[in-house]
Amino acid sequence: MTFLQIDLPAMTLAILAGLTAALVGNLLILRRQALMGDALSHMVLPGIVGGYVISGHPKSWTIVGGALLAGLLGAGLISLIQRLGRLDAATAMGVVLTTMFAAGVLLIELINISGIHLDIEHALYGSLESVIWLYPVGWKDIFNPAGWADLPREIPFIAGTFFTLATAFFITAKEIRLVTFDPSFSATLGIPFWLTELLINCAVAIAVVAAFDAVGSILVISMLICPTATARLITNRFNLQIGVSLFIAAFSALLGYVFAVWGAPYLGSPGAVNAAGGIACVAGTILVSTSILHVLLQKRA
Amino acid sequence: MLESFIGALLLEGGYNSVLVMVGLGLLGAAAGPVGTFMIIKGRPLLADAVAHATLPGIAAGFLLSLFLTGDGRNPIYLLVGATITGITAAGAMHLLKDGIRIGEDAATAATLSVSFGAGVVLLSFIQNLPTAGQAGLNAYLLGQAATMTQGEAWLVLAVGATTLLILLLVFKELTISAFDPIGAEALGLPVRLLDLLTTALMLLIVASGLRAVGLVLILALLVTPAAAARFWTDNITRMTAISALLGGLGAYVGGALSTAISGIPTGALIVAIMSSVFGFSLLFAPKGGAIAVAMRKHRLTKHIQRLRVLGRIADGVALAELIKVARHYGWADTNGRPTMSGEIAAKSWAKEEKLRSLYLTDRPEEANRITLSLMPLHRLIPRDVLADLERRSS
Repeated sequence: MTFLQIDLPAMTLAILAGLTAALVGNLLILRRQALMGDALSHMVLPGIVGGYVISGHPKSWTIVGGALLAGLLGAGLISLIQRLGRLDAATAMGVVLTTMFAAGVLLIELINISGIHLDIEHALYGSLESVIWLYPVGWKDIFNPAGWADLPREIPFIAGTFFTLATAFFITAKEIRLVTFDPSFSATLGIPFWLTELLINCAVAIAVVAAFDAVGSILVISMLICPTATARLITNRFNLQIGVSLFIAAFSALLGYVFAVWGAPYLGSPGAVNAAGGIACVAGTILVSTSILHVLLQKRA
Repeated sequence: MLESFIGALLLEGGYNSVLVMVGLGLLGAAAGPVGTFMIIKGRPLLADAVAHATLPGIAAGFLLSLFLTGDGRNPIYLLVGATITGITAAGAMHLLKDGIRIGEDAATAATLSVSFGAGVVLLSFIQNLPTAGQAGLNAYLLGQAATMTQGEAWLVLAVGATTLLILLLVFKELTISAFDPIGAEALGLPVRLLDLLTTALMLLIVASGLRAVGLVLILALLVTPAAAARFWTDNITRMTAISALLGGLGAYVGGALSTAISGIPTGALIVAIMSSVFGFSLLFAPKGGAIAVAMRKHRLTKHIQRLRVLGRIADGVALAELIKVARHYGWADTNGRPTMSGEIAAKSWAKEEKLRSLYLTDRPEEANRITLSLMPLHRLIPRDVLADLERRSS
């Protein structure tokens, strides 16, 4: 039963990663900060590596802390450079994101010398392929709490992140709408601009770290952006848009995984192809075909 | 290690590493100005999207070359593949941005990550093939200058030299049309064509630099020297030239570092050098660096404080909160009464002020230069003009 032990946990992880990223992506797209998601997903790398060095453990909380720290440091650097150099946000991002990603790469090379192993491929592609849950031998075992302790650590972590973020979203839905659509009005209500900025950057950094294990630093961008961008084309209503984006994210994750693991060999590949890449392709295909449909419908109208 | 680094810097490395370093230097020198133009046009991250989008092209080029020649590592196939998917991505981005209501930021991010995803899928497909040479493809992600073949090194050198030559030939036209497209149009320059040429040069630099610098970090070659040059000058031509110098030097030194320290991705080393140069410029550049700006601000604050003190003394108003400043210059005693030197300074300030306002009524177009300067009037205008003003004011 390799399905229960390899594919089921990987699919669960992929879906949860997609849901988490898409949830946060709604904020990024509406605030026109998609590039901040791009920048953050690169900038957290040195923090992740640093946290890993401190704990010596690939799934420790120090990694989340390190990533948050790196993300906030990067965001601070971007606005500092922007102010000092009279540069636009995108240029400042370009400088900071390459610097911090390179720092992460060099850090990985350094720790590999000292014996702890972390590879760059993991950072780029994620590690859906290496997720294993040895416990279940039959379908019934999935629901046996005794086996849950054996779950790959990524899954409880990302599930916890998703449900925490979703709850936070649900509770503060009104405030989120307010600060997103009318930042100046929310400032008069006593919600300072820097606080929203800080909270959103934190939320994105957390989502990126959580999804990082599943899809890696670059492909997480596709899960942040594509489902929400597609949902924006389908609806203008904020709540519905969130729902649609979550659905598309989960659907892309599922279909992408199925395509990579079973579809590609069926089409003649000598083996399974990279699942994270497959998921990004499906999310992109959905976005492009919805865009084309959108343009065609607009022309007819 | 230090010895081999210095040796490499002085071009005493092997034939290949000399080729790679000179090639990288030329490519970096071309990338700096092109990056400056891209920033001015408001598209600094287009290069990032294009760079990530070259991955599927590289993989497809490998497959095609494998199919046609039996060996996948022909750099020309990979370069052509990278260029084609790079162009496709730029087109897709354009479609997403202008065809529908997705913002430019979302279009960039989506294109970048999805095309990279397609590349990753193809790469994993190639890794499953029972053939040799696919491990070398990983070098395109973060760059491995040390393992480049002679053909690959010559390619970088040739493209670097060509792009630099084109830049030198049409430098003036490109600069004018980037910084002032309307003025350029009025001069009869083919602005759209020059715009296209800039993008084409960017694409060429990205595609040919991939093997050495890697597609994840090649953005730094274009953006970082251009951003660093901003701190050194406000003059457009000089800024572009400085970015060429910084880009060329950074890539050259990074390449040398990479031949000295084997096994570490070249892209990360080049970015480390480039970013250090950027950080140095940000802090220490005499024109726009943080320290220079802070010092200038400090001097201006002091100057304004001095003027306010002198103004109050001249008008006979109480110094109030400015006593401390006035005492610092010896212009007032502990009770806030003006001293002799304070009176003299105030009188000469009042005279200077009168001359300034007289001069500005004559020459209002000089307002910016005169009012923004901290220097006394006699340093700003010719002596005979000053003498004339003095005659009229008395």
